[in-house]
Amino acid sequence: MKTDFQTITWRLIMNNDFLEAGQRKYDSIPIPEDLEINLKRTLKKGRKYRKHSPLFKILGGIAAALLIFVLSVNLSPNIAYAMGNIPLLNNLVQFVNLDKGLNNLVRSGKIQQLNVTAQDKGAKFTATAIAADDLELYISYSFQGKGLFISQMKFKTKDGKSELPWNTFDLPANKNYVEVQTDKLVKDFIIEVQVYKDDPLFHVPMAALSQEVLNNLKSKYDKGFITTLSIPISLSSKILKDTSINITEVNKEFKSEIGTFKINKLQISTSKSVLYCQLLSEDYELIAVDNPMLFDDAGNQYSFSNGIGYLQANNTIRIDFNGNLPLTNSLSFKCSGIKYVNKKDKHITIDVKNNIVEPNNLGVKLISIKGTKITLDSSKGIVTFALNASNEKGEKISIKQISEYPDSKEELEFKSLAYKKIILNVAEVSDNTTDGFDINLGN
Amino acid sequence: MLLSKTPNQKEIESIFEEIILKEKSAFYKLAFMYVKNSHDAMDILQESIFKAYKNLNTIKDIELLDRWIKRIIVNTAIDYIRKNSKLVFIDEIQVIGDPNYDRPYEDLYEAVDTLSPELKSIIILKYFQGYSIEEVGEILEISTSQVKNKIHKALNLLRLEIKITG
Repeated sequence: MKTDFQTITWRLIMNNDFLEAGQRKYDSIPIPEDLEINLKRTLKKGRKYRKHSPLFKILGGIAAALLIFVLSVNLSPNIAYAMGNIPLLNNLVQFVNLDKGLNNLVRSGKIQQLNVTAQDKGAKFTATAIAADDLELYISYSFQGKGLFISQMKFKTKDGKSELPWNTFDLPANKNYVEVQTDKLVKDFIIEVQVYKDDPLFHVPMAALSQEVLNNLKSKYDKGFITTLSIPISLSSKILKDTSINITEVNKEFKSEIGTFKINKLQISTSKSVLYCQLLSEDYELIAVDNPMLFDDAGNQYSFSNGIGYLQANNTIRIDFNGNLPLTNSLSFKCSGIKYVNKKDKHITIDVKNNIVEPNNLGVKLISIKGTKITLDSSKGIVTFALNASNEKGEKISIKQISEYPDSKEELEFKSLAYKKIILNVAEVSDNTTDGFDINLGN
Repeated sequence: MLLSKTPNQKEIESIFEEIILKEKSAFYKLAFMYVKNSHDAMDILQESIFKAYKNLNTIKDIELLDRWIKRIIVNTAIDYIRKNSKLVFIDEIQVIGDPNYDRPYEDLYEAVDTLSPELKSIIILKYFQGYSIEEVGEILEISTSQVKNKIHKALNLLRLEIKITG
C-alpha cells in the first residue's frame, strides 16, 4: 500500500500540468479592491477590544449619548502613569510633575487642601485636595470599600438639584485623582460618587472575554449598585480669584472637501488651552478631529490632552490641550483629518412592523428582529450608532446595548420593541474622514 | 486594569498590523481556497484577524506571527465550512479505488474542493502557499510524518473513483 501511495504522489507531483495549471489559477484569484479597507476596519475593532476594559463598554452605555463614541481613548502618558500604583496621594504636590497643567496650577497657588469625607454601606470617599481654574479641575481622593469601586463621578450644584456641565472622561477606577473639564468654576458644588460592587471581569481587557460574557456583564454591573456618596466642596477665594482666561479670537480657516473648517477662538488659562473649531457646511456634521496638535515658533509641540473632542452646538468642537501655550504669532494647528457624517445619513429608520430598514445611503440592512434584539448589517461602511434612539412619535427610547461583530454585523438590544418604527442616530461612519491639514494661527 | 499594556505588547500589535496589511493577499487567498467566493472569504478573513487580535497576548514567538495567523485562518475556515456546508467530503466516505478513472477536475485548484477541510488545508499550504512539509506541520501543529501521511492520503483520494455507500 505504501508503494502505491508513493507512486501516486510521485505521478501527481510530476504531472506539471495538473499542478501548474492549478497554481496559475491560484495566482490569479482576484483580490477585492476593498480588501485593505475591510482589514483596516477589522484591525480598528480589534484594537478597540484590546484597549478597553469592559467597564468602558458598560459605562459607555450610561454616559451621555454621543461623546463616548467620539473619544478615541488616547490617555496622555501622565494619566497612564498616574493610574499605576502610586502610593495613596494625600497631597497633590506629590504628583505635580506628572501633569503640566496641574504643575502650573500648583505653582501659581491654585491649590487647596480638603479633607471632606462621605461614607455609606462600607464605602468611604475622601476628597483630599483640589487644584483648579476655570477650564480644569483636579481632585485627589482616597477611596475605601472592600470589593467596591467607583464607577462614575458627577458634579452638581450646591442644592444637588442640577448637574453642572462638567465632564470627566477617565474612569475613576484604579486612580487616585480625577481630571475634570469645566467651563466656569462655582464656589460651592457637590461631587457625587456612584459606588458599585467590583468584579474581576471588569478589570480584564474586553479582548479576553467572549461575546456572551460581555453581553451579560451589563446586568451584573447594574445589579451591583451599592450607593451614591455626596461630597460637598467649597472652594477657597484663592482659587476663585483671578482665574484670568486669555481669550484670543482666531478666525482662521481651511477649506476642506466637506466645507470650511474654522478655528474660532483660543482660550488659555493656567491649566490648559482650549481651541473652539467649527465646520461650516450645509451637508456635513462634524464628529471629531483626528490627532489635533499645536506648534509654536520654537517648534514645541502641544498635543491633545486627553484625546477627547467635546462636541458642542453649531457644528463646533472644543479641543483641550494640556498646559498653557505661549501667545505667539506663529502658533500653528495641525490635524490628520476631520471625521464627519452626512446630515442626510444621520438617521437610520427601522420599520419594525414591516421588518425592513428604510433605504439609506450607508447600506445598512436588516438581518433579523428577534425578541428585543435587532441585528443589522452595515457592511458598506462601518456605522457606529449612538445609544439614544427615538420611536415613530419622536419619543426617546434607549438602546440597552450594542454588540459589534467583526463581520460588520451589529446587534442592538432594546428594552422593548413595541414600536412601529425605531429611528437610530448615527454617531460615526468609519471611513468618513478628510485628509489632514495645517492652519497657521498667527497674523 | 484599563490600559495596562507594556511597550512590548504595543510593539507586537504594530508588527501584527503591519503583517496583516503586507500579507493581505496571501491571507485572503488562503481563506478563498476553502470557499471559492469573495464574500465568504472576506468573512473568514475578518473573523480570523479579529480572533487573532483578541488573542495576541498569547503569542510567544513574534517570528512565527504570520504562521500563527495562517493557523487561525485555517481553523476559522474549517469551522466556517463545517457550519455552512452539507457537503460530504471524500475522506469521510468509503472509497473504492479505480486507478484508471478520469479525474473529474482539471487541475489541483479544482481538485482540492473535493477534499475534506483537513486534507485540503495541507494541500493548500504545501502546493499553493509554498510551505515545506516541516512548515506545514508547524502551522497545523502536527508532526512531519502526519503531514506526509495526509499528503499521501489526499493525493491518493484525488486519483480514485468514489462511490458513496448506503
